Amino acid sequence: MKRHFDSESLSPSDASDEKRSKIEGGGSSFGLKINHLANLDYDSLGYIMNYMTIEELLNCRLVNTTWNEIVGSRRVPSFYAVKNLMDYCVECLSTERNDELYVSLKKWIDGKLYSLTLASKEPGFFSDTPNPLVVDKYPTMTVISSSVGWVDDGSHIELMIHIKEGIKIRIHIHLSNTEDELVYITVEQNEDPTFDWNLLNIDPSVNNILVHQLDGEESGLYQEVEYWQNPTFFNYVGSLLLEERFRGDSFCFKLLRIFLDFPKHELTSEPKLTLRDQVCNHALKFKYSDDLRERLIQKPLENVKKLNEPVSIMERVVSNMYSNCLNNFNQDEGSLFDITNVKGAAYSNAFRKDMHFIQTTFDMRLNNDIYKCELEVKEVFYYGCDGYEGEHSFSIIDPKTKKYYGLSGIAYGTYDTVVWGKGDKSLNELKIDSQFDSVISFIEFVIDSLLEKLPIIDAFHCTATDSGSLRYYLVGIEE
Amino acid sequence: MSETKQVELTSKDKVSFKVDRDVILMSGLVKDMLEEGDEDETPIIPIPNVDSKPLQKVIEYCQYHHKEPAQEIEKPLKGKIEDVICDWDKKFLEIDQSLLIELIMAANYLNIKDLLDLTCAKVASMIKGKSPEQIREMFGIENDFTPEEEAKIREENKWCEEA
Repeated sequence: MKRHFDSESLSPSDASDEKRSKIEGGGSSFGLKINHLANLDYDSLGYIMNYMTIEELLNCRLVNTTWNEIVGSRRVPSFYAVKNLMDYCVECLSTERNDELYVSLKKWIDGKLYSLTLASKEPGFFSDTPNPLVVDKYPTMTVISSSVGWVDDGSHIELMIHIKEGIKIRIHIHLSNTEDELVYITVEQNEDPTFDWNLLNIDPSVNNILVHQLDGEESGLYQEVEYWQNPTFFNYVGSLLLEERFRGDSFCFKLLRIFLDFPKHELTSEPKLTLRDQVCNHALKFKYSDDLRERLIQKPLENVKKLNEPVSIMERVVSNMYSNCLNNFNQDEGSLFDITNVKGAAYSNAFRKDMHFIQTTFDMRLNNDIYKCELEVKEVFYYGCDGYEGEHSFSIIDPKTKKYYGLSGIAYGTYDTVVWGKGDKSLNELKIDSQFDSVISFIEFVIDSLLEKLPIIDAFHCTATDSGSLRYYLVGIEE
Repeated sequence: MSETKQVELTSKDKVSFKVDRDVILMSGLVKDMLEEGDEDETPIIPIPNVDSKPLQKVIEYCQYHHKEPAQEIEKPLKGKIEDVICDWDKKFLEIDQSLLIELIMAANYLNIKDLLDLTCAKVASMIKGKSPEQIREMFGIENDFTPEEEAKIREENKWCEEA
């Protein structure tokens, strides 16, 4: 029988609806739950999943096979990207140690920061679509490609710029925890003899122009030019990037704009000081250097990572899987001493002056006891004194007493290595029952085992590197 | 003064609803159908996939939101849905689970994106913070994993955990 209602006069429910509700929705009245979600098609379930964070999706995967299939499908793009990465890592990282692959995966993930900030919220935002930006002033600059990289020691921004047919330059800006800001301009293509490089105040015969470095020795490979000594180029690029069209268009350009604008803007009130002088003054150093790096570069990048959960989860996936992979390669069941479950990475930069940053946790098996360990190495550069210093710590948790014991090390600018066991700190501080007769013999053993299982990255070039310089530095000496 | 044009929707269980044309144009499906038909008549549009109860709720939603556009709900949802929707939507969602699921299907079929967003976000909000066991219990879902399959997923999930 056909019923007819005016929509305005409908009552919320009628008797038949109530009955049906008891049978279906109120299934608990009969001690039986009906899976209403089973009526939904996969697309609708996928739509629901898109409101979940990745942490929550991990739980959803475990509900049943259908949910697992949906969460890992393209319907849920955030987890789909993570799942693909996991599958890729399982395939590629299980056969041999491959630090280059590890680093390239990290770089690939970091590069997503750029595309994520440009992307819409719709599915498909993980595509690698190039984003050419054209500036129509002379000389026209087309940004062919760009990437924002991020390593624990700092961040870097790289732009490939097409000025005109046959003329391309690459700008690389690196901001590190060593407080060296470096900007390189590489002439990538110089095939038009009519192009006037004086327009940009660039000498194309010099491969890399170090535009700005706050400290460090000069190398024959690079021509050092203080930032404000080449204002033509930077003011020009800076003014282009200040244009309205770039605002909000690109996170990368926003950062670059701020960076380029920094000395020009800040120095106007104190024209007699050079930036190097300012950095030697701690108050000004904080104002100009740390502020620039922390507030304008590092923090925004960290925030982007926080906002883009897939990126941070993907980083975890790569780090966890690679650490596990290295651990599997180096299992030595028969030994009384072994290091396992290593997590983290080491950053080493042998470009001009060694720079090291390590944060790792691992299990140390010693005489059938397993100690939870942590090694932290962080160097801090400062100016006007020896150049840099580092404070390092190696800590263990006693498996029986659950007490924490630590060993500290320091490094001065005048030393090339860590000085372990400073003052009253010695091997006895660790309260371990071992055959080692000195801090150094113990540290050497730990470091050798650890470095086999720790990915080592050249932070400056963002490539994998060997452990030679790091081992020399870490084993160090005993005071 | 001319009378507001109306449309008659007929549900799966043969219940008819008269609704203002402007209101039901929120449905992409109905909009497409109306564009194909003759504008002078009061069209009767069969909605064969939707029962009268969810269809009534759909109309209720459209009557309110065709004048008060819904706010976008962020993805992923950071907290409870109640924190990000208006009071009217909160009251609208005070329905049992079976009707909620029927509404999702209706919104999907009728192509009403804002309603689909709202109802899907509501289900997501119900799932949030629950363990797999609690989710199964809440929706009456059977665990059809073999122990090996479940162990494999738990192992994979570990790669996403913080070191």
